[in-house]
Amino acid sequence: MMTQAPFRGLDRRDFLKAGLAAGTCLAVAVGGNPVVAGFDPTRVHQPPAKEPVFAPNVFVAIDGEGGVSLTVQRSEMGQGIRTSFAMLLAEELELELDQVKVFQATGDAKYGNQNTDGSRSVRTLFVPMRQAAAAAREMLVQAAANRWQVQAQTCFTRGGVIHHKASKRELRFGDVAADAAKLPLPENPKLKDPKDFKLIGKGRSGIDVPDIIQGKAVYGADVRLPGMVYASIEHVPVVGATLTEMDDSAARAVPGVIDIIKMPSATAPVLFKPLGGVAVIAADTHAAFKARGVLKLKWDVGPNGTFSSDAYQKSLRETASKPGRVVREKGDVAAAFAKGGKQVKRTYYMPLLAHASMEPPAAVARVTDAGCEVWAPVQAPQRTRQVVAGALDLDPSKVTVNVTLLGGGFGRKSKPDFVAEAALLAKQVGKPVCLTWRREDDIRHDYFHSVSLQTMQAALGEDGYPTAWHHHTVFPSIGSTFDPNARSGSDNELGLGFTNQPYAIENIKLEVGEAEAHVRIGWLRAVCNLFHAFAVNRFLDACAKEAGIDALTYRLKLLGEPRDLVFSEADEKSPYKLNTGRLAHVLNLVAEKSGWKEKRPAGVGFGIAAHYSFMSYVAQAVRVRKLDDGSFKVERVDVALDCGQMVNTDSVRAQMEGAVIFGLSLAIKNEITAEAGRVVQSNFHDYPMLRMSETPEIQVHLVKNNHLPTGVGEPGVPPLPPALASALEEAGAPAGDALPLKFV
Amino acid sequence: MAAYKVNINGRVETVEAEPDTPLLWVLRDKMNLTGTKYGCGKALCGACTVHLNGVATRSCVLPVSGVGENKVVTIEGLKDDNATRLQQSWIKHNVPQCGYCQAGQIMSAAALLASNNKPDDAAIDAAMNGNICRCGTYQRIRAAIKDAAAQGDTP
Repeated sequence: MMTQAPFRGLDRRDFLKAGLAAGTCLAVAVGGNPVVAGFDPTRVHQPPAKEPVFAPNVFVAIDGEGGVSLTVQRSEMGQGIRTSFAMLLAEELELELDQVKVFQATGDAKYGNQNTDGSRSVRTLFVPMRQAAAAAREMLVQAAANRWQVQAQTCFTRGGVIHHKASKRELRFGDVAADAAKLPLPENPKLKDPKDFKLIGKGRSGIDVPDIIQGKAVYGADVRLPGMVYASIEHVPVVGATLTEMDDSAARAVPGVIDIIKMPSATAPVLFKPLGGVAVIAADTHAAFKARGVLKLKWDVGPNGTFSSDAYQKSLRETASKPGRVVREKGDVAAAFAKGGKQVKRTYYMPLLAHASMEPPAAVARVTDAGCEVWAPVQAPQRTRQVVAGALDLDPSKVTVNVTLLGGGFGRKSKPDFVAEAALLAKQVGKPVCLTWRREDDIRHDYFHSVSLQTMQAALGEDGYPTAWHHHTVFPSIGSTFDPNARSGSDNELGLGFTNQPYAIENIKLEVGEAEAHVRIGWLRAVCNLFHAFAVNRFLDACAKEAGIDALTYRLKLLGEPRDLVFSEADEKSPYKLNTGRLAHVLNLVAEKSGWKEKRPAGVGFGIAAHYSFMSYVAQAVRVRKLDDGSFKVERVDVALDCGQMVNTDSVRAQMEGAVIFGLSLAIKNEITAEAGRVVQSNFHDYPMLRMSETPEIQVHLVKNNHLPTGVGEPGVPPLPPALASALEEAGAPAGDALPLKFV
Repeated sequence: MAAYKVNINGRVETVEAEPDTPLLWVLRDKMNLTGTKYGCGKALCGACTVHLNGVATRSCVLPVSGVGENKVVTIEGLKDDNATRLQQSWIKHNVPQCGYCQAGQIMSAAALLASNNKPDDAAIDAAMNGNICRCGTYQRIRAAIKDAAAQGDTP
């Protein structure tokens, strides 16, 4: 596979044409005026100040002075997409990175898919974004060539200047931008040869860092509008609960309180609807928070009021003990088990998890006769536009969604329920509203990562390797958010580390059981890969231990010869196939770099795990040490990643470092439980995060190749928990088959 | 409502607020100084860190009535040499991911360097443990602080 191989599933031609057709209608609809002297809340998100004279597509614009701007359609949540896309543009336009001004697109179908999820922004747009820039370059160079009456191929451009080599003449982008705008759009703009890349594949500091470190970056609750009021919502305590009684007299007496507004409870399917509850509108956020504390509310909690995590775990266990829906079967597992010999059986459990991005859900909304404008940290701006339009009964064209920076997303901000809340409240009070969810609201009323229980059984042959592999997974599906009758994992969810388990075993049976959801279930960084990678890797280690074989050797043997694996019809057509050789390579690389094969000192434990997700290959090795007081310290984590062609290697590295911390938090700290339908945890004291003093040394090892670019934001998380659990076990901790591992 | 005179970023400002209003919300909602962030409301995460007479302080639990004549510095007003070195180091090490916690991280780091110009790992742990970064930039924060401290040595 080469970098330039055509993308399937995304028609590049259509993408480019869509951009070109809409070329003249740039994103100029943003209307938020700065309202505080010296403070422009929409600064980094405003469209180009100067009227562009040349805009060959919706992404690239050049003004009369040659200023180049890029409109980024994907949301920035720390993965560095604004920088990566600026690098793609600068590369093809032969600019320095700091010559590109970056603006943020509003939610609008003219930009193509804007959903920032699935670790796919670079994967799907690596070529199209370069084409958008290459088209501009060809037209500018052609305009200069026409002026000089020379052949375009005798000209080149660098740093915003077009040169004619022979005559040593120069023209700036601004000199020819108006001419370029009159030229026909190139049918197939030529992309740079990867060997000539100056920026792509290098490391660059993020373009938003200077603003961030001066407190100038704008997040969801940072927009200030004239006459704006502040809101906070006491949500229904349980999904589907309804308010039966309310005494808001004390709340209304809190100084600063403007209004108390009842919001209807969301009914199934919950979708992205506001959850419902009672909103407080006040002169500042503190007054709104304070008034919530003295609201006297009575609820009918409804059927989800029976949800309790202990009983639920028992029900998952029972489901897993019964036959489920078989989703992959090879050979005859039952016959292999009947032969006797060594067998291994384990059960793995992972709890509900909350996203807990540092920025809780927050949004600013303004509703006027002209429509609705929102400023919000959303991963899905077009979905937000639809949801807000639906909530206000407006045509989507009347809704403008300005995307601020996201103070973390991790999948939570793909769900725009909180933006619809802000819009509804702004309409009701007739003033702009700044809504802030409290941390407690965020933890208790999330779209949680699914709780899961998995049973696994293997028969080992005489050589110690599995002859039969039976894996049963049970978890409430994300589908339940969209369809209350959805009871078991979708093909998509099961394809996240379950049905595409790559180990060559003669007899395999994979089953899925049904589970009912009692809370909102949603995507969280790496989604079902988290629990499937945990179970598969932990179970491989259990089998290897039983067989007395090294965990690395065991995996390499089961991966077998390097080859592409195909698990479905979609795989058949996909240019991305799980290649066992690439997975083996990251395993070998991480083993080599971490010193896996060296003798381990007493009290030191090592664990290794590998997982393929979002088309990328990641292996991790974790080293822990048992301390004198009996506790354990995670000393070092090595990460090897093969994500094909990289754009910004430094942000790739940063994503791996961050994934290790995210993985450690969920492996040893994070657990959401419910009692009588209500989520027990509420803030960082009982839903804690890893901190500085617990941070191990992290070494990231990047595989450089020219395969198609693949995912980066999510794939670093899944291998961490199983590698850590195995390291702890080797260091003398109890076998950790249920997360979180509370004994660290 | 009462009127409070508070010294913020070198200027004495008068704000109307309820006495129990945390400084965080006075800064954000009354003075439009939105660089200081809300993260937990309980001094658990450090996103709201400001300096009170140079000491890193969680503004989400400090009532405006308790500020008195103490000098408040927020990320917007952090302009001394230490701050400049830290901010340059933050860029060099490409520390932030989402960036939401970073103002608080820098405020804590600046207070640390002001009292300890050569912090070791233990000192960094002690000063920075109250600041959560969900994106997991701790390793880079540590490196950036050390780098900034080293820059301070060379005149």
